[in-house]
Amino acid sequence: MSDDAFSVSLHQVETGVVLAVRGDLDAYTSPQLLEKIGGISLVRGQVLVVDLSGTRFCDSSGISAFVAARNLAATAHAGIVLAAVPRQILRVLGMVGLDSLFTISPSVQDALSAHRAGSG
Amino acid sequence: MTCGPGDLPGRGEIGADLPELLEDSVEDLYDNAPCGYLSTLPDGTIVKINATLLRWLGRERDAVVGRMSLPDLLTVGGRIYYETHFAPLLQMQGELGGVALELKTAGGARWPVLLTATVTSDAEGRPRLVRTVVFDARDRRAYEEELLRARDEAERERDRVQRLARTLQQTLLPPVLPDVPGMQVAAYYHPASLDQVGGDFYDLFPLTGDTWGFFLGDVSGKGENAAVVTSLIRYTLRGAAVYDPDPAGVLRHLNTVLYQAFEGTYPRFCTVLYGSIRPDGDGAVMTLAGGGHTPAVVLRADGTASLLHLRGGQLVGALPEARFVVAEVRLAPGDAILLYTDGLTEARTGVDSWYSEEDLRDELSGLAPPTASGVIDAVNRLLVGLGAGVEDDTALLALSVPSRESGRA
Repeated sequence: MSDDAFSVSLHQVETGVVLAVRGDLDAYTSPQLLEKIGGISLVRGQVLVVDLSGTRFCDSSGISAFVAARNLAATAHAGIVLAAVPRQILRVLGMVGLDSLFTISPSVQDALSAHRAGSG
Repeated sequence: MTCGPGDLPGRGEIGADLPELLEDSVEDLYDNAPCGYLSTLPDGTIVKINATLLRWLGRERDAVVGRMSLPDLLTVGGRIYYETHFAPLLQMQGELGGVALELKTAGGARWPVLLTATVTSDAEGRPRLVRTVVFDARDRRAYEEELLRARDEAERERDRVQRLARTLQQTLLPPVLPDVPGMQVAAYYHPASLDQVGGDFYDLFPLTGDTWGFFLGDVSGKGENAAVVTSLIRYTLRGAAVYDPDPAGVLRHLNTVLYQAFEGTYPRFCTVLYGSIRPDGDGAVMTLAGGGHTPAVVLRADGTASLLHLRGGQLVGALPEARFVVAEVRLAPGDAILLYTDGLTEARTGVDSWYSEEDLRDELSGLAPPTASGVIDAVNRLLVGLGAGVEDDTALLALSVPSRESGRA
């Protein structure tokens, strides 16, 4: 029921990559996000911002995509930020004990400017 | 000059022969047309029929004209359809097209046809004659039968896939729960889809002495890949439980196995509750380790319910060094505990709302005294109520200590 509304888009920005997710993240949609994450290239010092402002729901398979994104960033020595995280996803992240693994930011703009300030 | 697409000779060949070709008389065209022609009186009596149709029927003109009516040429089913639909509709509308019926030939064979009919009327508007064109529909019928066969085949294939998924699912769950002395146990598995193997699992098994081990969890993803992981988890947990009495140690072992098995490929992990339970006086003591799983519901004999949060426990298999949190709970006579997967608490109750752990806790409070089977029944009713909102599989495992009253009875 949520499948057709789902989309993932990538934007290259000066300091890294913004990955925008739209629609619910569940067992049916998460593989699409995973595939997109597989195609991201990051270099040391960049940041991967996952924009969740267009998402409301995420189950444990959606979490697997976040972990994959985090592993990708860690391998590249890049940072990872989850931006505009809805309450339900914060709750799931807390439930699976991964909230400490990610930097949480109120918006993509905040995430990017915090990263600039941090690295500059 | 021009000629229509129906003219058989190529453009260059037409010329002097044209008048001869046009000697294709109207009578000949009528009799030997590539379709059947039939004229009937309003009562159905056949007054004119062409040679093509007679050939299909295998009948002589004299035996048909004035002697038979259109329904006489049809199969029994066709006759009923003619009387109840064809004739009344034709009378009402004055014309009718594309009606599929079966002719019965003189030899008794069925000949599928499509009928198109128009009514001609006299000066006063009274129906005079019905003209019917009969198209041979044997090819079309063969095509339809082929479609039906293909559909039957697809349905059989789907049944086979569903049976396979069910069988595979059963190998991932214990066929029946064992009897645990001094306890009541009950479990339930609700598949969200008939043709996909879910990623939920549970088990209950004896450990040393009077201690029992149990677990319940949920693998990320579904289908055959999830089934492979579920199988690995189940056997790893049972193996680790044999030699490690510490529930957190058992989960650490599982974490190492999963992390190493799927490192670098598609990440696979699970959330799980693993515990052991042993008798303690008139009740039981349970040690429960949490790996990022939804909190168990503890139901007391007086009808109060609470969530057993194991905050900080991380999901299993995602990180090389995961942290697990352990708690101990004592179950007194009449107390129960429910473990469940997130198919239940992620059921959608509105566009932007989902069934939560707190909703479940509130729903289950008031069961006094709660029993394992009573709790499973209550959650089952809840699942039925949520209906299509339950998009994920749901597994349930409940354990209870019989109340003093029922223990004495």
